[in-house]
Formats: sequence, C-alpha cells, structure tokens
Amino acid sequence: MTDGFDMSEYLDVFLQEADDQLLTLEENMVKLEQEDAPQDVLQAIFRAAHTLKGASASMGFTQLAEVTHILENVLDALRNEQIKTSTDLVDATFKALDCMRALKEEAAQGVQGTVPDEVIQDTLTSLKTILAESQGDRMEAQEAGGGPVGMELAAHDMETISEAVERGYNVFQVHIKLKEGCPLKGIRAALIVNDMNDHGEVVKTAPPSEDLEEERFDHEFVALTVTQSTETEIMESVKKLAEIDEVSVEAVKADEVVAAQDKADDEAAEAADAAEAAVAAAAEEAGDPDVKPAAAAADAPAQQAQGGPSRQVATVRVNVEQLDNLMNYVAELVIDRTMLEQIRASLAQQRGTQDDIVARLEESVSGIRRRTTELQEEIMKARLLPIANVFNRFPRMVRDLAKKAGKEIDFQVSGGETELDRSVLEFIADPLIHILRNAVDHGIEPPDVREEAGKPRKGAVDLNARHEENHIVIEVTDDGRGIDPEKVKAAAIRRGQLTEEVAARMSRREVYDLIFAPGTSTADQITDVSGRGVGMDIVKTNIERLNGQIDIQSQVGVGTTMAVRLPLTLAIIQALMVSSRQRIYAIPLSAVEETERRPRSDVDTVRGRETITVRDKVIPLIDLSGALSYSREVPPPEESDQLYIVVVSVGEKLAGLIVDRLVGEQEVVIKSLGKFIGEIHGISGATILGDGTVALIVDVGALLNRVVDEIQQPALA
Amino acid sequence: MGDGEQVVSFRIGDEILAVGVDTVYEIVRMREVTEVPQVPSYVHGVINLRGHIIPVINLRNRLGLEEVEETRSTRIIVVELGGESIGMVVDAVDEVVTVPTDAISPPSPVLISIDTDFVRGIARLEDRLIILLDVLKVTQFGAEGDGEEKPEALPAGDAAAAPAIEGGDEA
Repeated sequence: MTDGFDMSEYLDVFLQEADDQLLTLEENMVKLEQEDAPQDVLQAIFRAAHTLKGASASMGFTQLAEVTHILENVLDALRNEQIKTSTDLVDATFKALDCMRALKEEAAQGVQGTVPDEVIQDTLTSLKTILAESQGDRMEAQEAGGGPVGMELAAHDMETISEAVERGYNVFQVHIKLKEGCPLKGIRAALIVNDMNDHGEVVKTAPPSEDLEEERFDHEFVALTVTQSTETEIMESVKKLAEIDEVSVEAVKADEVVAAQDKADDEAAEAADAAEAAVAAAAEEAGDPDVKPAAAAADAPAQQAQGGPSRQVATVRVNVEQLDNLMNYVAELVIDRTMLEQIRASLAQQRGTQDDIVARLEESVSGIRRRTTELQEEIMKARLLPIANVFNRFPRMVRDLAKKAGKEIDFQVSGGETELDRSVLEFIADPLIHILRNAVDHGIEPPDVREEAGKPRKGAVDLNARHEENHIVIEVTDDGRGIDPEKVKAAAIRRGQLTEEVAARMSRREVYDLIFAPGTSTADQITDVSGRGVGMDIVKTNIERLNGQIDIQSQVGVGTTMAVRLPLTLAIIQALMVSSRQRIYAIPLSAVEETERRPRSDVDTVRGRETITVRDKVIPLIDLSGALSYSREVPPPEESDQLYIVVVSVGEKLAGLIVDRLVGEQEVVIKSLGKFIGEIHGISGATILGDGTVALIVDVGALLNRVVDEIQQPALA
Repeated sequence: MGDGEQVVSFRIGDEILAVGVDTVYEIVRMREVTEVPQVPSYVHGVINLRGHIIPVINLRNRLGLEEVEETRSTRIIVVELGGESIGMVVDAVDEVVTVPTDAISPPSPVLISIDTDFVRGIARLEDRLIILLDVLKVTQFGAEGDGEEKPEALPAGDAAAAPAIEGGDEA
C-alpha cells in the first residue's frame, strides 16, 4: 500500500512468464496452419495471449499489451469459429508474435522506441484485417454485455468491506468514465484498476473485471476499493492516467451497502472470482523474484473454475544462480568430507581401528559420504531441463525457411522430453539452427526436382533427441539430395585446399570432415539462408567446445543425417587425472582413447616432431607441461626409460600426450578460471580436488589443433 | 576522530604496506597454489577459496622485490574488485589502522624501495611509514606496458583455421 510501486522487482518474473507465453503461442501457432486445429490448441493459444496481455498491461507495457490484445481478439474469433484459419491468418499471427517478442526484448533491456512504430502499426493492421471478417458478430456481443453500470455486492464482499472498515481502512466506490471512443478501453480499465491496487485493493468492479477486459462495457465502470489512502489521493492518482473523462470517488459505509442476492448470477461470479483470486495469489507469490510457481500454476485455477479437475502443482522455479550455489556448497562439503576421512585415518593409526571413537567416526563419515553423493546427484538432476525448451522454436523456423526457399517440408520433432543440463541447453541452439538450415536449404530439393526424382513433393526433416549413456544424441535427418563426396572434393580443390591426388585417396569420412573446414559449401547457388560457406565450421567448433562430437552420414539421393553427441552436463565431467612435472591435470575422459606405456625407443622423429605408432597409426606426441608453457619451468623427472602416453582424439585427429604419471579416473566439477586469468590456451577450466587443491582441466581440442598434423592429414595443412 | 581511512597493514620485507579495509574481502593462511601457464610471472596461480577458484598474485614479484620462501606468517589477502576476488601473497599481516587524511602524501621514490607506480600515497604515522598500495594497478593484468605481457603470445585456439606450423616447442 505504498505510492511507489517498484516494477523492477516484478520485471524478472514478468519476463520469464512472457517467455513462457510467447513460446506457447509459437508452439501452437504452427499447428494452426494444419487444418482443423483442435480446440485445445486454440484454447492454449488464447489463454497464453490472454495472460500475456494482462501481465503486460499491469506492468505498463502498453504497446505490448495493445498488440497482444488484438491478437487475442483474433484468437478469440477463431476459437468461436467466427473466422477460419488461413495462411494470411497464420502469417499475421506470426507477425504479431515477432512484434511482441521485439517489444518484450525492449522491456527486458529497459529501453523504449527500438521497435519502429510502423512495424507495430503494420502488425495491428494485419490482425485487424483478419478480424474484420468477424466484426459483425463481435459488435453484437459487445452490445449484449454493455448494460447499465451498477454495483451488486455478494455476501462475501460485504464481509470484506465490514472487516476493512473495522480495521480502519477506507472503502470507496470509484466511478470512472473513459473518454468516448477511447481505444483499448479494456486495457485502460485494467491500468486504472492496477493503479487503484497500488493504493489498496480493488474488491470488485461493475461490470465484472472479465467484462472490462473483454471490453464488454460502454465507457463507464465502477470499482470498489479498500484502501488507506484518502478520497483525494485516489482521485488524483487515477486522474493522472490517460483517456479519462471523469472520476468520482464516493465513500461507502459498510451498513449502507445492500447485498443483492441473485443466485444464478452469484454462482458464476463466484467461480470467476475464485479463479481470479487464485491467479492473483499466484501472481503475488510470483512477485518473489526467486521462487515462483511454475507456469502451470496459473493455468490450474482457470481449469478449476471451468469445472476441470483440481491439480496440485508441486514445482517451483529456482534461480540458476541458486542452483550453482548449491553445487558449490556440495563441492565444499565433499572437500570437508575428505578432510574428515583423513582425520579418521590418522586417528585410526594412533588408536587402532578397534577404538570406540574411531569406529563411531567411521560410521558417521560413511553416512556423510552417502549423503553428499546423493545430494550431488539430486542437484545435478535439478539442473536438467527438457530439450523441448530449445526444440520448440524450430517448427516455426523451419516453416519460415521452407517458405522462403520455396520448399515443402514436413518437419517432425521427437524426443523433446529428453533432459539435459541447462548449461548445455544454452549452447546447443545455435549449432542446431545451422544444421536445420542446411537441411532445409541444401538437403531438401525443390518440390519439382523431388517429383522428377520420384520422391514425394514434400521433403521430410526429422529432429530427434535421445539419451545414450551419459550423453544426449540429437539427430537431424532429411530425405534430400544427400552430400555428394565428389562435389565436396571438387569444391575443396577449386579453393586450393586440396590437391587432386590427395582427394583421390580420401576416405568418405575425411571428405565429410571437409564440410567442417571454413569456407566450404556445396550449394550451387548462394541463398540468403545458408550457402555462403560459413556455418558448419562454427557448428563443429561450438560442439567441440561443449566436449561433444558431430557425425555425418549421407547417401546421394537418399538423404543426410547429422548426429550431435553431447555430454549431459557441462558442470561435471569424467576425467582422467594425470601428473606432469608435479602438476595434476584433468583430461576429459570423452577425449581419451587409451593410455599406453611405451619404451622411449618407440619414439620416432618425423620432420622434427616426435611421433609414436599406435595401432598402425603414426600420431604426434605432445609433452603436456611443455605445450602449456609456464613461466616457471619445472625440470622433468629423471629420464625414465618408459613413457606414459595418453592417446587423445578430437574428431578424426589423434595425438599422444606425454605425462609423468596416471593418477586415476574421477568425476570433476568444472569451474572457470575467472576473468582475471582469462583464456589460457590448452586449458578449459579448473576443478577442485578432494584435498582442496586446484587442478587444471586440459582443453584437448586446442592442444590438438595447434599440433601440426601433417603426418595424418596433409590435405588440410 | 578526524578524517581518515581505515586500512589493513601488512609487511613485505622491511616495508609496511596497506590496502583500504573496504577492498579486503578476507585474509587466509597460505595454501597450496596451483600454477597457471601463459600468465605473467607475478601471477602465482589459483587457489580454492571455499569452492571458488581465485587468482593469486605474488606481491613481492609484482612490486619488483626478491622472492622469499613462505613462512608461518605468510598470508593471502583477498581483495574484491569489480565483483572478482583476487588474492595477494604478503609476508605477514599486521593490523587495521586508521590513517588520518592529512598524514598522507604522494609517493616518493626516495622514501621507499618499491615501484611507485603501484603506490597511491605514503602515510606518515608517529612511529612508521605506511605505503598505501594502489590495488587496482597491482591487479591490472599486463596493462600500462610494464613489459610483462603473457609470456608467449600463442595462437588463439581457432579450431578449424589452418593449423599453425610454427609449433614444435613441446618437443
């Protein structure tokens, strides 16, 4: 009940919710195009638009509210079968979606005016054109709802009022007259009610709030508000808002209010009120920036009001930072546990394992060990999110790309429920976008070409995700023209990346690798979608940065499958711990092929580089510590006759890392070295070991890329 | 009490230095430092501070003084700058003192043995001189051309770019 209402506190919540609603809209709008969109799809989009409109109006984002409002009207007409779906309609709704997204972005950035007015006007015009079809019907509906203004109070309203009066609050009946012909009066009314809510609480409005929202009123309405502010304060505050013609505030005495008992009406109103109250309560809870009910919570009361089954929502939304903190605490706990174990060990040495205290300590230490492991696992799980979060935006994208490229595509998505860590999720969207673009643009042929080739006009692109052990595999399959190795080779030769002799000897796999070299493109013509020869190299780099791999399978004329394999989490990896010059390193196990112990005499020198032959392959050797270049050199241990070699690979590249000792395998939590240290070539991060010291994590890809692999792949050198 | 600032004073050799109390996040005992490659020699390495990995500067090296073996009194002063924590290794930590503003004069090379670039001012107290360290400059990485950039400008890990052939230093 303060004058200043701090929006920033609610902004995060609003933005998160807006994202949810926009996603729901997008997901379902694609389905609109398919004929006979089921009613639940229509309901879902309508609800999303409705919620977003309300939220943006109450946050004061009027432009967003305006666009959403008109969109909602279109969806409403659609839902009530006043208009039919058409390509125009879908295009207009997508246009609106883009506009809304841009406006939401504006809200997120805290700026204004970045979205040109023309864009907004254009969007509104498109929507209104669609709406014009059903205008006749709507007018009737409005007239029916726009009855005379009056205030009827139910018993429970009376209770609220008398209680408020007892507690010393003022109760006012505020009569508001909007300017005649005022546009978006529904939103205006919502803004006015919100303004009054800043001063207190609006108990009831006449006509009821849903009628106000739906613009089922003439241009006057009455609101009953309970507040600590005075008449003048309310009056002044409301008057500041735009498009208001007249405001009058009248004090209400509890005993003067007569409760009108209209049973039939009451029941309906009651249900609606309950739903509203529940939503309001949820919204209030949502005001806490850290914890809020999941989006589903907002839907639940609405369902209840419609007589649907009541649904208990047992999820909360948690700030990522909090999860990260939890992870840190667990890591700390693990270190403390290690210390306890050491204490127990030395105590056992002093007193013998039979000692009572030692035994009891052992018991509790092993209890702690179990708990910490469980805790770690649970927190890891809490960080997992379904990949649908990323997949959801693709149907729309593929539709647009296909339209642009003049292709017909049937896009199928499966495995959206597959979960992975949010840290990975953040980074896979871009590579997948590139891959999908390639499939649409290069993979699928134009409809006529397909027909000639005896294929259906509509090309198929499938996006699928699944778990495989500790990895997630995401596949994009198309039934397009496939990758022709000869074309790829020819292009590489043209660019001088490759000689004809080398090309002739290349395996299919090696040829596919060329696709990931910068500057490669097999598209005969350049489109604005892809085909500029950029993209796939970035895809590969990004995926490798996530400790993942990408694999291509393709058959000319039949299609292509690109499979991306990623670890489930970036936060924790399995690592091989090694020691080199008294320093401990973690090498991601995903990059380790095998470890070898070889006599020094096995080392050959090829063109000035030490190499070794492993399984008939000559691979370069890299001295781990030497390659990293420290400012303080540590002399190698006394020349031993035996070498420990960790054979590592990234894609097709292999190399042997020379280390002094293998320490063992371990799960490590990846941490950043921080801004001050910055990027270190050959090091991807650090981790904390059981004894509390820090070990560096080797960036195998960076080390390998630096090595001259003229031995293996002269073609690319 | 007149105008003044509270500082944490510490020792490096015979000199008494200090940093503002408000920049100090905490003071911890010396612990095992993990060296990091490709950083200037004054960056000692990184430590684990309750689950966070923070860099540690060897202050002796940074100030151009001779390095010494660590002792029981060696400490790491953790300062917080722009949201990042950075540790500084010092010989010993003394106390928190209030330095009156009028006792502070600009740094003079005559009075002290360390590089005045890193000194914000000198405070003359009754019985001693306290060198007020410019923490920002001390923790600035390879800036203002102090001749110690990252030792070897290695090619960036640009994955697919044509592999550089100048390597071979690991042999």
